[in-house]
Amino acid sequence: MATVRIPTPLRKLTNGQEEVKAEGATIGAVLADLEKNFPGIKERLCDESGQVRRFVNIFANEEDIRFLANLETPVKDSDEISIVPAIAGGAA
Amino acid sequence: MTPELGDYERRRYARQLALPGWDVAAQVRLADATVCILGATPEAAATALALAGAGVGTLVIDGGLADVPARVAALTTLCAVRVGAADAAASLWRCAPGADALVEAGAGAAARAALDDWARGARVPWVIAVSDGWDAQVAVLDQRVAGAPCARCVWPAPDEGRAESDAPAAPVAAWAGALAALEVVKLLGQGGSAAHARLMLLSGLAGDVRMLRLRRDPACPAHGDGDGDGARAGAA
Repeated sequence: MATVRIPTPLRKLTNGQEEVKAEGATIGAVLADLEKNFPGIKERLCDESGQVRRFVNIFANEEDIRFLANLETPVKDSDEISIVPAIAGGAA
Repeated sequence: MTPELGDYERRRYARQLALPGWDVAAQVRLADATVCILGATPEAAATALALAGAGVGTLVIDGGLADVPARVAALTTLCAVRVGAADAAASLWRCAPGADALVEAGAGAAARAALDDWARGARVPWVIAVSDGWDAQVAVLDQRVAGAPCARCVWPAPDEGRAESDAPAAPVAAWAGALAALEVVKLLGQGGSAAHARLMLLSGLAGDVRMLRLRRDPACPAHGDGDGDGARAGAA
């Protein structure tokens, strides 16, 4: 199973876990497995059409999946998937 | 002509001058530089103090940072300080044309977009330093490098996710600010940074740092040849 790194805003859905395991041969399958174990998480990552939301970046190891094969990017058990939300800030 | 430092500066920066890869010329480049820091945040405060301590000659800071007199007093003992308006990032853009490097430290999505446009056009290096809860992000975008990604290449719509952000743990914000300052020191003093086009992620809970690669999006509209949807247009 691949390792998925969960950012602070989504840890409410993973029982506070910063790192979880997920099964799947592609990024899309990994997200589906995440949803099975942590209901509600996929909605936070993907829009109604199933595409990754524009304020979320997903990296397979150190590469942005947008420059690989997006949700069809292959995943190996040794891979680390990073979910990286845009942080705009703005509070003093 | 060989750049010079006075006796006081040589004493003040003696340990920094002894660093491998650093010399008098690099220190003089810092002393001659102006850095604009956007954001009235803990990240911005940490960046300003670290840059002033390293020897940057002039800082342009957000008016919100200047609300703490002791902070301004500390900075002005180390460098020249210019203050922008308290609530409008737009006023800082007027200062930006004189800037040799920029730091966006949680100034908000609109400020980041405007800064992105300006930095790209002026070919000025900039660093983004933001934090959220236990996590921090620092990105280095050196617009002097051919083919450099811009912020829009990486975050096409950062404002859509603003409700997701939480208040940061104070040391996490300080880490982001100090790292941003380090990157600016290298960008100005050494002419570049090995962290260019990298996103450094701190997981404060796990206690680790990851380095992710940032790429120019060939379809990014900011570069004049995109259709507005970027790389996501081809999403499976």
